[in-house]
Amino acid sequence: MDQANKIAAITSWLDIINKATPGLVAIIGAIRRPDGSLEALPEAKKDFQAAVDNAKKWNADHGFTP
Amino acid sequence: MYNSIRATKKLVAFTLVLALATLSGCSDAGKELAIAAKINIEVQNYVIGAEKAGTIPTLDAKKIIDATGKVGEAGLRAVEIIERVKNNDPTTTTAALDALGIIVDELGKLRLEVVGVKNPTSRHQIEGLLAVIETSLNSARVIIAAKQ
Repeated sequence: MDQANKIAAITSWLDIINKATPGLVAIIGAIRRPDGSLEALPEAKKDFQAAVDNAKKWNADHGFTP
Repeated sequence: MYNSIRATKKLVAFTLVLALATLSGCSDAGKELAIAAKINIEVQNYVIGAEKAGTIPTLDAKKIIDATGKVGEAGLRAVEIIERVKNNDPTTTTAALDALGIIVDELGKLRLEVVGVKNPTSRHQIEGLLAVIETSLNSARVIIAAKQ
């Protein structure tokens, strides 16, 4: 590999590292977060609540008392 | 030659990012619970639609809809407890595992109601969705247990 190719190879590595760094930082941050990354919990809460509410509404609409 | 080295480096970098992304996804109990909650709603909506279409009798639909409501109630309790889980704290981790266990119990009751569904297409559809919920809950349990 001549000098020009070596420089090009190093440049390409630096380019990859430069592009991948923000993503890697975010991913490593998610892995290392102390609570184990529970950001989706509010979404789970919303859908579980919807299941409870829908069941109540369906029963009421069909004349079933709790 | 140079192009092939460059392609290999890009492949290695891409594989590394993919592996880390997978690892990150696997370490998220919240996401697993969110999937379980979403599929639970899907089961409920499916049964509501099937009852409306007349493929599932109203009384059978009621049992399943009530069971999905119970899964929702257990899920809400689990979310509250999991929000308080701290790493390396066996008390909070055990409480979270117990809470997930209650959802699994409710899911077991839901599965029993589904066995009574006579329409095979509906039954298989619902059973498939329940399997997805089970997988998500099991993943969430493994992730939380790993914190102990």
